[in-house]
Amino acid sequence: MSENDNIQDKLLALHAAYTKTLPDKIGHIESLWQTLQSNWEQNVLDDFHREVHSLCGSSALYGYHLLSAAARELEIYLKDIPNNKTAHTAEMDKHISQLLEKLVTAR
Amino acid sequence: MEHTQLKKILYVEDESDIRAVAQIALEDIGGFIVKYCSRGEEAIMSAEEFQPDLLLLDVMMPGMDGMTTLQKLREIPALKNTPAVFMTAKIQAHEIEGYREFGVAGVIEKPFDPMLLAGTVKKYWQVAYERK
Repeated sequence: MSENDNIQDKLLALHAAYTKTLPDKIGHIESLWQTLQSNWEQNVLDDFHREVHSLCGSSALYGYHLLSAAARELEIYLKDIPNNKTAHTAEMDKHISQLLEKLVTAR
Repeated sequence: MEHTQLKKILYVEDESDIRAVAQIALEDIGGFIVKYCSRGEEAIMSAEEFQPDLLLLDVMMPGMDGMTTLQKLREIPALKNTPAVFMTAKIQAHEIEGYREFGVAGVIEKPFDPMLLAGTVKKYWQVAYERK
């Protein structure tokens, strides 16, 4: 086996391992959103934002471009939410739910 | 000790999935010795002992971001002039100019191509080294 084959095998193995983790990563994001909907807390919003950002970056690297684009769209929306609990509205909930649905179905 | 070739890279990236690909790119393909840090604070703690030839930093990290980490690393006398390269998903021309003001040798766009990463890093290091 050439060195290049060996590198390709390692990259393929990483890709397979990453793919297996995707349901849990997305499930965790959905779970954070459920928590936020019942109790809007800044620290949960921060976690939610960070997990979406993380998925956006890693999924792009592993070739899940649609998923990454959907995560990016949600990330951009979350970035503009003010750090203010009272600014949270039903309209925002609806929009985030729609963007999250897009992310879930993009995989 | 400063090397005349790029050998040792201090790499700061919070995402383990991204570090895993970068490890293959930098070690298996590039043949570099790499110290991996998941947080800026960790990089600051270990940088002086590791004596890197190049600092490779993710820009957006929770807690201490890439720019703040670089500023803190620059406070270590041995790392004052060590070439630094940023990695980020969001590159705009004015951002690159802003980074250059802080002595950043180059910016690599994410997602990076694992087959090309080592060559790009080496190119930025070479340019910075020749400027010294």
